[in-house]
Amino acid sequence: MGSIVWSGLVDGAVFALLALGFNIIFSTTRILNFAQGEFLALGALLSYSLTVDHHLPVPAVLACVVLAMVAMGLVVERLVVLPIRLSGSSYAWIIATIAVAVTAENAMVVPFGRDPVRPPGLVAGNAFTLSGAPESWQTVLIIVAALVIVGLYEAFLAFTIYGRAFRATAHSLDITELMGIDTGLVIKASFVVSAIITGIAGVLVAPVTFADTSMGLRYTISGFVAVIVGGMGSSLGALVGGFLLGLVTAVAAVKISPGWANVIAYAALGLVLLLRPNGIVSRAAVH
Amino acid sequence: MAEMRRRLDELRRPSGPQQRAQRALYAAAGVGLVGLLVLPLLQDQLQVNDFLFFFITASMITILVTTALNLCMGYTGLLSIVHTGLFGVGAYATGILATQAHVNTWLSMLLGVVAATSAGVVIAAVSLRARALYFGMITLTFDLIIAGVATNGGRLTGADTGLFGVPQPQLAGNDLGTRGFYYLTLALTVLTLLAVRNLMRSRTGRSFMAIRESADTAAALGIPAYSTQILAFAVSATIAGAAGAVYVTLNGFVTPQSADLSGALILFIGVLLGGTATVIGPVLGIGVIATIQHYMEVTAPNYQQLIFGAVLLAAMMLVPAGIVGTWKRSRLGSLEEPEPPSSPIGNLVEALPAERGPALRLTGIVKRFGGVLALDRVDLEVVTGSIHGLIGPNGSGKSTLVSVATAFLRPDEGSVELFGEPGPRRPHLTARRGMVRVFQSPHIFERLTVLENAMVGLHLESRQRLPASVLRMPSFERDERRLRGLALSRLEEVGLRQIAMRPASVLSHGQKRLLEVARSLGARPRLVILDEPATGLAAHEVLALAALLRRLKRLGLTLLVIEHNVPFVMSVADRVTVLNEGRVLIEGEPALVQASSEVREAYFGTLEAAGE
Repeated sequence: MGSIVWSGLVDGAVFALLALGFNIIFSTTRILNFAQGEFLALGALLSYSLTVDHHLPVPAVLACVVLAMVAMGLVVERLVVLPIRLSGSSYAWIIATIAVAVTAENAMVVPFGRDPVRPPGLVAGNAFTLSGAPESWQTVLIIVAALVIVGLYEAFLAFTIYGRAFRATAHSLDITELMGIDTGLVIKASFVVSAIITGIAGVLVAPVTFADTSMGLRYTISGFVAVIVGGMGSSLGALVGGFLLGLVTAVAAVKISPGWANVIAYAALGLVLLLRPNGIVSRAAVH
Repeated sequence: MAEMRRRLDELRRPSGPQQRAQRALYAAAGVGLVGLLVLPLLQDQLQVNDFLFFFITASMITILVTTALNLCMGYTGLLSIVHTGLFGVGAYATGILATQAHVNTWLSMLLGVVAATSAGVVIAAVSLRARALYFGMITLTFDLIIAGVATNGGRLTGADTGLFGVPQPQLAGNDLGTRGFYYLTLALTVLTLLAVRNLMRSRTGRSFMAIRESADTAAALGIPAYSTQILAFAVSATIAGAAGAVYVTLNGFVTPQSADLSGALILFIGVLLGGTATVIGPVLGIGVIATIQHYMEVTAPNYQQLIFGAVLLAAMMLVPAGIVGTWKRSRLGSLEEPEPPSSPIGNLVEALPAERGPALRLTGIVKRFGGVLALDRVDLEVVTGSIHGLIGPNGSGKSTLVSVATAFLRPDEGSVELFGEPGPRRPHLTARRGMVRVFQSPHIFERLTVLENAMVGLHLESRQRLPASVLRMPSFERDERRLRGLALSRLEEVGLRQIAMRPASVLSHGQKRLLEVARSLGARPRLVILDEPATGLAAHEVLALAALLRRLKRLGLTLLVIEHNVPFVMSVADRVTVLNEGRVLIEGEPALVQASSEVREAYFGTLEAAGE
């Protein structure tokens, strides 16, 4: 049971980072980015390619992934925001983000192929054993990193001038614009920050799971469930939703079956949407 | 016979380039259809292989699902992300019945459609408990659940690998075959498109579109939003399920991928690229994307989804209105439909009861929002056949009082009486009780024509039934002509008849206001509540509005006018109630109220100080 809970926490940490990524873009744009998991997929696949094919050291890999995420964040922002602005349909955002997700997933096939890959851990060795099963340092790193990243993001919001611009934009785009803040720039920045966090989640998770081009959509849906369950716009909610989803699916996967675990998670999501549409830890409502 | 003569007259009309362009389009569509009909007969001459028929059949199945999605998303404004799931329910139910219960394939298909319809009703009934965006997300979770059940269904659904060996339906003892399916699907597609076209030009279709534009306004006109949206979703699910039933028997198999999210992309492309809320849009959208798909299957099979995504993004940016929308906005496509012939029928309003008791009586109304006391024991009596003015400064509770009277809000204390009986409990029931509300900011259905707007107002007047509408039965045609006549007579009354066929979005603010009044008359109300009707109108429009209100009063209507524009209210009202800070300050004849020192102090004083 101990190892089940541990693996649930590890999955949950990754889901929490995805939920945080969802939150960051949602707060400035009111868009739920269905291409969110593609940042994670690119981070994971790139880290494999750089470590295994190009033998780069860990800091260089991280630096390259961050640069790639800046670029991808900016490209995705254009591909999502432009169609919404030009089409004028109230549902444009959902279709645009799904289109970006499918396009990104299939574009990644060109350099990376379709085969699942698994890079070595950023840190080697096993940390401890739980009910007879060894747990690697990598899994410890994932959980710690998730908590640190969420903490850093909250500190960024609270203590920096850019963080205040983020919060102001989240509150009201028009008024923030009137205050002389370039909200277009804030939106671009939110895509970049969100992409970096989610890309790093990809680097972290790749060594404990298999990375392939189709992983993006799977993680998008998990992150989506986590963010809805936790509540939009709340970092605490992202953690709660992420860990809750991770634990429930890990336990259900062992006790019932991995396939049904997902179905149960989706049914739970539907219930949360119906009964507590603003999530368990709610701050902002979706308009 | 009269109908035929009318059509002939239309053809003989002097024709401009627009008419010629439209006739060319109709001709092209006719040629295309005939071409599809005779293609199998010319197979040998043209040397086309069976794969082409299979491909066209598959594309028509996609067109069916896209049409279903368009009905929800385009016409009714319900973002559904479960249409691949509904398609999957139709396919799996048919397949399971045919392979495992050994039910006759035709019957299995029929039951598969029933299963999809039932699933659609359940999904809509549950999802509609949530608001707009959450509705879409809940449908998405239903899609994930359907795909998840298919994947984990073990022997019943064939799990990951899918359900195989579904037998074809029999025709005269033989399998239907490629050509049989081709004709079956062609017939199904053409009939579905005709049915959707007919549906959208009927009372039911207009109520779908009215809800898309504004559920509150639709409710104020007597359209029950919840059940109407479930109906739209059910019809849509039926079409998607039928497509699934044909798909599984044509291919002989279905896999969980058919039901999951990945297939939804092409449906969205079909709707957006073709043109949302248009009948032919899905055909054109899927036609384009399927042709690209067809050629890519040979040249670049691995990059199909990549191209799909890119085409969708490009389409949203380059042709945001879709193919049909772009065409209609172009010079050749911008054909105004000819004005329908009308025969003005009946009176504008029903004969009124002789008694002169109160039309509306509010007694001791108290309404709190949290700690704020918005209305404090307000009494209001509107005499039948009069124009009653309700004025008061901002925040005095006027709009809250109207919302209480029309059942949009429930009072904490006090009672509402309408024509001597207890007030309605739900907003959409107010119209049935002879009371309609004209909202503060014009709540016009922007994407409907002026005439359609007026006809939505006749929702309660209409006697159309869904099957008769879809089949264009004589009873429907009679009713539709009658409604059109009534709507046009109301537009005549407010002076908008000449622009009846224009989209409502092009009207000026004042015209929208007038249209809203005309639309509200559709429900044959006895009491019309006008919420700040003069706001934002030009001076001459205010005069026209005052004249219209007096005319409506002469016709026997009772009017309650909530206003900021004091001179306007004083010029039209028989009695005036002044509300201040949630209480009635004074009530009486305009001259009396105007003379009151209390009112001057509390209300006019501030205006005079502001230099009014």
